[in-house]
Amino acid sequence: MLWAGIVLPHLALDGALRHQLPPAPLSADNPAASLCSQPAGGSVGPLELIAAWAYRYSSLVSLEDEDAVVLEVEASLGLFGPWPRFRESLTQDLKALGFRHRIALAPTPLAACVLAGAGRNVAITRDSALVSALGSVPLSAARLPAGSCEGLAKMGVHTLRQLLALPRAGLRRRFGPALPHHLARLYGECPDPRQCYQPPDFFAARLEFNHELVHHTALLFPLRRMIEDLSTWLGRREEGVQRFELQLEHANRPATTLTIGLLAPARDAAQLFELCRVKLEQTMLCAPVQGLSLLARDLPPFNPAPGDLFARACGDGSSWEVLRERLRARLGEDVLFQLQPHADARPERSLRAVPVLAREPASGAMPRRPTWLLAPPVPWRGTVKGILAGPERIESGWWDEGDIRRDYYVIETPQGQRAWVFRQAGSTAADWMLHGWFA
Amino acid sequence: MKPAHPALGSLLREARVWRGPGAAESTGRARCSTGLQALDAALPVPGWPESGLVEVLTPAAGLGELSLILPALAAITTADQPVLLVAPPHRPCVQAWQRAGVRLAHLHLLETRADSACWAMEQAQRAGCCGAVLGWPTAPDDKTLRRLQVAAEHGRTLGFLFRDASRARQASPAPLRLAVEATPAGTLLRILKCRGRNPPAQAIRLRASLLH
Repeated sequence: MLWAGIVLPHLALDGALRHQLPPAPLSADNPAASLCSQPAGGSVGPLELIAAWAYRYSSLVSLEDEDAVVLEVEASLGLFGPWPRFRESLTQDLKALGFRHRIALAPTPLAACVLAGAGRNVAITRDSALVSALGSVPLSAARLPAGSCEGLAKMGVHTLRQLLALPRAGLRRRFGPALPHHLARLYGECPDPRQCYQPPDFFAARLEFNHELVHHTALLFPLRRMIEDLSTWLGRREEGVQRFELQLEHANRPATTLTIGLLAPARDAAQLFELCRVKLEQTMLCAPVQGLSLLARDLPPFNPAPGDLFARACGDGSSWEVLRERLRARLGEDVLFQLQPHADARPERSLRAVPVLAREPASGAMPRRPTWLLAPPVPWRGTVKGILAGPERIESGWWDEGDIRRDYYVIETPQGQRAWVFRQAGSTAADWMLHGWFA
Repeated sequence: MKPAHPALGSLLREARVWRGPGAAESTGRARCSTGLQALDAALPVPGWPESGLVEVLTPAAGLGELSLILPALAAITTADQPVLLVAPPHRPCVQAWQRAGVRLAHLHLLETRADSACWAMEQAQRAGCCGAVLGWPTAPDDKTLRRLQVAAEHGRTLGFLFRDASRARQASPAPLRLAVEATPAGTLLRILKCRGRNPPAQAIRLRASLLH
């Protein structure tokens, strides 16, 4: 196994300062700031962010102390390698994230951290080269157990080469078992089991602004970055998002929560951003916004719709799913629906509105029905030119308070309209009720 | 006949220039047959156009204006393309639609305020994913009609716009305008305008009265 050690020398210092200073100003000039968004909860620091980032390169990512991350790269070299190129992409990413860093490659995770921390820009792939590479590293950079560094300095031992030359049994007696064990892990003489980073099962991101935002448009820029992060994150997990929450945080007021729900999971950043934007535009900001957070817990697996190789792209090229969500976002969640026939003789109850019709309903044998159904039926004041069909007696519903007894007729009006009308069963009066049109 | 000039050829193919009866027979393609032989024969392409706005003007409901469209909707939904109904005046009785061959899994309804209907219709047409968009907006002005027509062309979608017959005299950018007329003998369909051909003077019988 080969390990890349990434040391972030300013992280410990930053961590101390972070409690006193406001977060970095967020603007178009400083896009990296939004990427350093701290996940909600407050306990997760930038090192976890780095770990989450490193997880896209390797499945074995481990945190070392408070300022370093190690990741196993040998298995990933086939995909991202060779090492110089791999290293370059790591560097590029970290620069974009705004972290100062040092990287080194070594056969053991501890050695990788030590070499990177000592500023040795090396790539050691064989165990045999490790001893000479670590030899000149000062003990202060060797991440030795607490206290042992000072003791060794008093003995005149300043480098790892000098330390390695000393008998281990003597070191154990003087400094306890931790120091020889540390050396064994450093040189790969004993296994170094590590707790690996596991990404969380939900996506949460939070941003605080250092000035109050009063306009929607000012929120769009950080929102776009957040949604892009979400989309990338979903892409790695082969998941889509079906429902997520945006919280606009105000001073001295409960946060405004916007819930974005979709009919089917999606993960396209542009689509999700558009939905958020429409939702945001419909919301009145009751107070200036100080922070923005995004929480996505409903993350079903996402199967991208198979595209047609020969399909011509026409129009905006957006799929029905995208259009559907766009219409729902703007006009309301329940305006768009499909109709399902329901096995009930009463015309009022023979249709059911469902958000999505999963499969084609079977067509039952039905007497002739109009194309439009009026809900509810209205009295028909016009004249009747003649009866084309009927009566059709519909008598049902005595068990559920929806009792009807009607005789339905298809009539034609003097204008040539064909209407579906009824009157109470047995009635001969011309008190017609209009219930549908044969349009 | 091969046109002499390539630019002229494309102009003729798009059927934007009226060439007199018979000249435009083979230009363009039809989306699907209208189901009425007389209407197919009267249109510049034998059937509904591939894309664009089709205006249907009706004086009242129940004159057969939907049965004119249903064969097209059946063909489009059978081809697994969604059909969107924007602000319909009533609920469709889907049993009758299903009997006409419309696949309900591809039939979507949008019940919205009338003022949002034009926006929704334009979006749906522009997206290019719907096979057909049917809309019942209230009194769209000339600018809105033009937007709808451009959106339908852009998205290569067939848009059916249902309006009141009183608008027949108002100029419209829709390439095809059909008016439903009620007569004692039955319902007639008159082509008010069709791009690429002179509208025929004769009206087409849509539905005969059974009582006449």
